[in-house]
Amino acid sequence: MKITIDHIAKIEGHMGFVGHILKGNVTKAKLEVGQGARLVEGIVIDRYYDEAPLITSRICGICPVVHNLCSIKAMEDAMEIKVSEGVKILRKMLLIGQIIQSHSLHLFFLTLPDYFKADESIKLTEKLKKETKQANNIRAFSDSLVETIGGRAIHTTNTKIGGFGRMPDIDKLKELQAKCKIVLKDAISLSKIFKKLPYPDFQRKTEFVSLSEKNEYGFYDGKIDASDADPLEIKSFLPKITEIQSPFDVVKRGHYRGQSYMVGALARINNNKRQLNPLSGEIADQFFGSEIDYNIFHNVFAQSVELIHFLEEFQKLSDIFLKGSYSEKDMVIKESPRPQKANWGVAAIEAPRGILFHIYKIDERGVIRDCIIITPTAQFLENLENDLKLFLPGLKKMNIKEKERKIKMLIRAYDPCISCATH
Amino acid sequence: MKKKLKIGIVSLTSCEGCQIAILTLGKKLLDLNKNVEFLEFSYLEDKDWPKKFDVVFAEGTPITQKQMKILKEARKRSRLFIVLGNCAALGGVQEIKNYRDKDRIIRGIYKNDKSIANPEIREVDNFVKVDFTIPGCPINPEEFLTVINQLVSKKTPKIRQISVCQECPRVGKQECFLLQKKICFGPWVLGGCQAPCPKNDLLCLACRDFKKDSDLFVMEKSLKRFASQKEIEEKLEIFGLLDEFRQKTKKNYENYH
Repeated sequence: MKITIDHIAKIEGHMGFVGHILKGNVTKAKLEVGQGARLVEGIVIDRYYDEAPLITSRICGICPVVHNLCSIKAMEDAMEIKVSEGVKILRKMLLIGQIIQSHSLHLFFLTLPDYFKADESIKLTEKLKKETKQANNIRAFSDSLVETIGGRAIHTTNTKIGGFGRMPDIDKLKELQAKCKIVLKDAISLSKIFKKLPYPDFQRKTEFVSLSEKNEYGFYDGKIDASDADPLEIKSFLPKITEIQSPFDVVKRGHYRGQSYMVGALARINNNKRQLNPLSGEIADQFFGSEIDYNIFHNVFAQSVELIHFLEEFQKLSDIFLKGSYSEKDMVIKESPRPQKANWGVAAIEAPRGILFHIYKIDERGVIRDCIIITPTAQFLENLENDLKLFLPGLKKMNIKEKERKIKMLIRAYDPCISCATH
Repeated sequence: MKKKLKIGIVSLTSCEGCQIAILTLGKKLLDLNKNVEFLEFSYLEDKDWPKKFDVVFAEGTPITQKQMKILKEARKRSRLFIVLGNCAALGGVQEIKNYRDKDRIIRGIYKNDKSIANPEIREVDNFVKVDFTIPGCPINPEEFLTVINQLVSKKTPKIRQISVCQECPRVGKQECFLLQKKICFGPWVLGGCQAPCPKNDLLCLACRDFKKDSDLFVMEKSLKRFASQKEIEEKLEIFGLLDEFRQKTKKNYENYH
């Protein structure tokens, strides 16, 4: 039997699937990426260091903020720049806005229709009027948050190496803080739907990799955590990752110690669940046991929990920021600092879909000499394919339409971003 | 009942930020449902294409053979064809490789580079007839909404022809980048974006294209008072404007790079 899905809608970018099953054995389960290669790692070479955040943010329209920030952090690492506490708090709030933008889009518009057997999200919104309003509230809040701090809802313009272009409008931040209370209620209410979805019972052991930070649910900074060792500094961790590119494959797939692995919301929940904020922590406890959760479909609910967690986190951080006295002088950069010596710079950040790495080599004039970008989807694509291999035989008795629906459901549970994977 | 406008949103290779910009319209987008139907919009539906569209909006540049087919098929099936954003209209950041050794670039990234499509990046209007452009990186979603509403009321799509400076708070002040001798293309570039770059201390890099009536010789002369040709051109590479600039100022650049 052969299953071919030419184009998988409701994921970011272009990807298809081909599966062959012979007498119950899966002989082929392949994801075929149809995105063109834009060669982003190559086009930044020979350009100036401060253009990398601008150009690499164009890797992805769903998560431009994370590429922008990760690139900025890597340059700061290369230039040995330490940013002020205020800059860190603002960046964290911006990153929160980004994760909420992405999760709310994926949860409500991309993956939820699967569970209602709806092939049109708009039809589902007519059916789920209250929930649609809640989802729209959350999305509007996150767009407004990214715009307030980043200067624009998509492709931020206010972030800089060393700080920001200008201070955010404090009145707008206060407004967002007030709105957050309502939006948090919406997110909690929506999580009830996601908690009860009929997730297929499907488990496969794998490795979960994420940031890990001592004092918070890691997302902006920290060491890298996997189950086999204590968390490692980025520079010690990176050698354990290899990028494998097969002929005709436009994605360099990540392997961790030679094996496929998972990054993203479920990896973060599995690794850092105990650091969730109170409300999200309680909701997570009711769903996830104390053991590691190997059901990849639960990535969907993990995102729903994170929506709540990051809204709680925004309340905390905006409170600290608005009550604190962070002067413009420590945050706004008038002239970009210039590199003084040749150096490597590395950074990792939690993108909505998982850990993201940016690595650069710059020379003493600030010209980029090398660039490596390892995106979440490139890291988990192989893991998804391995899941599909195990998942297919269980679909034997279903008709073709149902088989396709289930395959798409599994793929969408990962929330792949093909523009990122290819870049 | 009034017939709904049949719309398709088609994506080639890009960051898909223009589609995401459309999604930021939220409720306003869902309310469009009264007058239009999105028969192709990968983020919102999972169905086959209809035989005919009234309007197709396309973002991105075609890189693979399959995308080239999709582009041509979309044009064939649509009465109107509108491009969305910098990639489709001007080539996008991926066009930077056109000014470098693209074969060397791909070898630096892929071990098995021979099997990966690596054509020169060309704007969508090189392959199909384009009726209108909604500019920007990303597009301004309000302009998308304006165009949709114009189409619903059977008007020819139009967006305001102003310069970025007309929306820039720095204009006429000390903070003006040009007065600070920085390369800013604002005066010669199509506004309508609300100037989010100069508002946030970022130079205008012309992602929305030059205004039609801009005199690029004047631009070049003004910028050359403090910047070199190479510096100006490097900035124009970022959003795919260098080929337009060279063509419009018709110079012989054979020895450049």
